[in-house]
Parts: sequence; structure tokens; C-alpha cells
Amino acid sequence: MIKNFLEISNLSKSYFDNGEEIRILRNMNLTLADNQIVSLLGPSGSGKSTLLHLLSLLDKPDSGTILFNNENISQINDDQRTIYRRNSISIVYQNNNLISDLSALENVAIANICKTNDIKNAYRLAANILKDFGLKKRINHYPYQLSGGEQQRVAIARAVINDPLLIFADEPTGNLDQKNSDLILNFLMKLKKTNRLILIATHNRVLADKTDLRLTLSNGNVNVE
Amino acid sequence: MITAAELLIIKRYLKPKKKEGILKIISIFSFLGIGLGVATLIIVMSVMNGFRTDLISKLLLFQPHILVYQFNDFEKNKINIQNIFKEKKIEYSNINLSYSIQALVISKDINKGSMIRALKKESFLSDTLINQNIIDGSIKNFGNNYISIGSNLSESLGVWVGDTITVLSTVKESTPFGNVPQQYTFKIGSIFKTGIYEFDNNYILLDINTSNDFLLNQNDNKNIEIRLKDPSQSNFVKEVLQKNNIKSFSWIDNNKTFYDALLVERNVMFIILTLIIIVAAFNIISGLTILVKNKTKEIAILKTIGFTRFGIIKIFFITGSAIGAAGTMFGVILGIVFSYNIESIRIFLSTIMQIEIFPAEIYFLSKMPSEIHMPTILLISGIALLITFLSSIIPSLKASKIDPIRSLKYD
Repeated sequence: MIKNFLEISNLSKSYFDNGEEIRILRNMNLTLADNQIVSLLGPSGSGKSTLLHLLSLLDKPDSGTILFNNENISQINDDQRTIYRRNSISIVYQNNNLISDLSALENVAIANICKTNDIKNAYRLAANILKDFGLKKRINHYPYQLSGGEQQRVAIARAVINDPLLIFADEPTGNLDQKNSDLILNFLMKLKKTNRLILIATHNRVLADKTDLRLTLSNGNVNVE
Repeated sequence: MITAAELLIIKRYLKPKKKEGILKIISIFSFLGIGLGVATLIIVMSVMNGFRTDLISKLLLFQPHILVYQFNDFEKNKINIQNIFKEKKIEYSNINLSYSIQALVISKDINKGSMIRALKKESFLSDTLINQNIIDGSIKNFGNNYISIGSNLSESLGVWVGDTITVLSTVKESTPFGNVPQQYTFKIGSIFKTGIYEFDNNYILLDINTSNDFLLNQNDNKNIEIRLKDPSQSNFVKEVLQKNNIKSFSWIDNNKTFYDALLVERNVMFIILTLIIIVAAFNIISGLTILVKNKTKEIAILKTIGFTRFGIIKIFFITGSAIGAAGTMFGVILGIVFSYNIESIRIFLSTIMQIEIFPAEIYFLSKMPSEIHMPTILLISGIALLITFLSSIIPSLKASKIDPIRSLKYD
């Protein structure tokens, strides 16, 4: 286990709304080890999504550092961020995760094609993952032909095809019923391994209780439960 | 370079799903718009090229390619010119003596200023513009006081084949009553109608060998006519002769207004018709803008999985450009096929619509002219492609600027 797999120091982020500054994160400090699933709890507007966007390099902090494997990734340029996301980071959203013009197989494969430019191998890998996720018969279906639970499974399959080190999920079960939520959580649980950290932002206390570590965001800072 | 992932997305955007019918319609209209614009431009340019070539070739049947003026001895100058041509490797068909004289023509009570052109009988007989357009009399009735006259001029003067006309020369004759213009009478042997207004309305042709009296003292109006194998060399040959102190002008100088008008007409038509392509290109802009708007969330997803900004630009730029390029290719093929078969199409349309689309008696052309000029087609294709490329840039840049956080959270 790497204790300081992901290390956040003095991280701050503010937004301006009608000229008024809204401080979302205030000098946040957090260190997380790999090989675990961490849930991030907090009320709406507490900064869960903001933190995930900063960690997934889609946004830049106002101040502070993010060290990943002891490398400061908060100061890298846009091209480096894109390459980092392509190779090491995956994100699963609550909905709108899939590309409507691509089949389930293509939706999963596209992330690997983007990384390796090897179509044949990407399709082979994608087919295997979808088979593992119980979607063997749905690989040629388009997103509109899949149920919400199936769409999320495809999204998670895409999230793991490049074998990422960091997986972030923003309310992955928010739009699903209990049965599908449990299913998705089970899939996420199976993804836990050495040299990987999974961080799930959620409102769902039942889901959070099943994770290895629960973090609560309030007043722009994080507390370990 | 396009990556495999970008190519996969481009292929899907070029073939929208059924529920995105509006995008499909816009793509088809963009394709057809560009194609028809390019085809129209090619067809119009080909017909104008055909007209231009036809008009110029008619003009050159009647006019020499180079006219040498202000010289003394014809034979001496002819040898001199032949030597220059040999040295410069200029190919020519013939070098002849001729006269171009402005004179007053009188018939009964009608007077009219005309241009009298004296030329060798052999030149007259071999001139296809004349010998194929004799509408009255015989081409053999030339020389021995017989002349050939333009159809409009004969009508203006009210004279026909066999009638006599009087020509007042600009050369004066001394008489007890003072200097009076010399008068000569000629008989009309034939009437020609070339379809070129200037010739039919003004010209009288006479034999240089049998009109010696009339041509006496006309040294100022004496010319050497040169016909080249390639008339487009005329200006170059003129410059060569002028460098050798031989005063000359080319058929282009002689018809400068006409030549420039053809050129201006062609250029203006090109610019106006290019507007069709520009208008068609707006379909590409609107189509791509709608595509970007519809795909905002998906662009955000592509960015989150590692597509670069430049990669997003490439996807939309190539999608728009591919529609434009396919439309251009379609237009080029349609334009060339249409231009090659324009006469058959004219006959077909005339038959179907029961109207004469291209009346021969107005245009003096037995069929609709069309000349496909490859450099023009390349220019049209290049401009069409450039317009479509430029049209694709703005929506592509807009797509690349989509903020994934905002798009996935709020849209």
C-alpha cells in the first residue's frame, strides 16, 4: 500500500456569482492511500463535484497542490493534463456518460483507442470487459437502447479499460433504483486493487457505508469519519 | 494526422442517426449546395470559354494576327520578317500584302462610310469565314472589278449582286475645278454574312491585283498581314518585330476593347457565381453549429477521456470539410459531364419545353459552344475547398472551447 498515493495540501477554490465570491474549498488537506474505495459525502453545494473536477484535472485550483505519487499535478499545462486523464484518470458521472453515436462496445473501446490508437486490441479488450460486466448481449446496442443501470455499467467499463490509477465517480447511482445501485456498487468494489484509488462522491449513505473510508465535506474542508 | 479515435467519431458525425434528421437534411443540402454551385460555375465558365474561343476564332478568320504598317518595299520586308521568324523559331502560315482604306461608298442616293480591304484573290478564296458565309452571288466573282460586300452594308446601300457602287477615294485628283476625290466603280460579285456585326456592316473586299488604279497613292494604307500558326503568340511576335524596328500591332491591340470586355465579363461572372458557393457554405456553418450544439455533452465526455482541444477541432473541421470536398467533387463531375453534353442537353430541353434555347440565327453558331479549361476547373475546385475549409473553422473552434465541467453539470 502506498500511504500518500494522493496528497492534497492547502487546496482552495472559489467561484464568483454576480460579483460575489463563493469559497468552495478552503485550504483543504487530505492524504489518501491506494487500494481502497473512498466515499465523499456532503450536502449539495458542499464542493464534492468541485473537488472531483480538481482531482481529475478538469479544473485548476486557486491555490494549493495536488501530489499524485509524489508528483505535483496541479501545476501541469493543459496538454499534460489531457495526457494524464487519458492514461491515468477515469471519471464516471451520474448520467450523460455515453456517446450516443457509438455502440456500447465502441463507447468502451474509444477510451483505449484514444490512448493506444490500436482499434483491434481496443475492441477485444472492450468486449472482454463488457462480458465481465454482464453486457455480452448488449455490446452492439446504442445508449438509447440500454437501461439506466446498463448505461452506468458501460460507463464504468469504459472507466477501467485503460487500467487507470485514479477512478472518480460523481453520484454514479444518483439516477438508479436500489437494485441497480447495489449492482453498480458491486462493480465498483471489484475494481479495487493495488496502485489504484477509487473516490465516489455520493449522497447515498447506504453506498457510503460499504466503502473503505468515508469523508465528509463541510465548510470547504474535509473530515474523516 | 487523424487518430483512429477521431476518425471513429468523424465517421459517425458524417452519418447521423435517424433521430437527428435535421442534421442529415442540412448535410445533404450543404453537399448539394456546394456541388451545384461548383457545377454551375464550371458550366458557365465552359460555355463562356466556348463563346470566347468561337468569337475570337471567327475574328481571326477575317483579321490578320499581326499587321505591319509604315514600310516601303513589301518583298524586302517580307524576307526580313521571314528571317526574324526563322531565328526566333516562330511558326507562321503566310505573310501577305493588303490595304485597309476608309472610303465613302455611293449607291443611287445613299452614301455610307466603309472600310475597303484589298487582298490577294487566293487569300479571299481560302478565307473560310468568307467562303462559308456567302449568302448571295458566287465566291468566284472576285477580281476584274468584282467585289464582295457585307450583308448589312449591301442592305443599307440598297444594292444586290450585279449592282454597281461608286467609291470615293481619299486620294485627291487635280481638276480645273480644284482637288476632287477620285471615283471608282465596282460591281458586286458576292455578299457575305459572317455574323460579326463590324464586318457585315462596314467591309468591302476587293482584289489587290485588279484594283491597281484605286490602290495607287495608297501607300499610307498599305499593310503586311501575318498569320501565325498559334495566334496566342501574337503579342510576343509583335514585340519581337518592334525590337527589329518593324512597326506592327497584333489582333489583340486591334480588338482591345472587345478582348478586354470578354475578359471583364468572364471575371465578373466568375465572382458572381462564386457567391453561390459562399451561400452554400453557410449551410456547412449552420449544420456544424447545430452539430456542435447537439453534441456539447459528448464533446465534454470526449475531453474527459483524453481527447485534446486540437483533436476536437480536427473532428469538426474534417466533418465540415468532408461534406464540402464531397460536394466539390460531385460538382466537378456534374459540371464536366454537363459541359461535354451541353448540346445534347440543349436539344433535349428545347424539345421538352418547345422553345428554342439557343437560336442559331441570333448567335451565328450551329451549336452551343463549350470548352472545358482544366486550369479553370482547378481554380474553381480550389476556391470551393477553401470556402468550405474556412466555413468549418469557426464551429470547430467553438466546439474545442466547450468547458466539460459546465457542459456535464448544467446542460
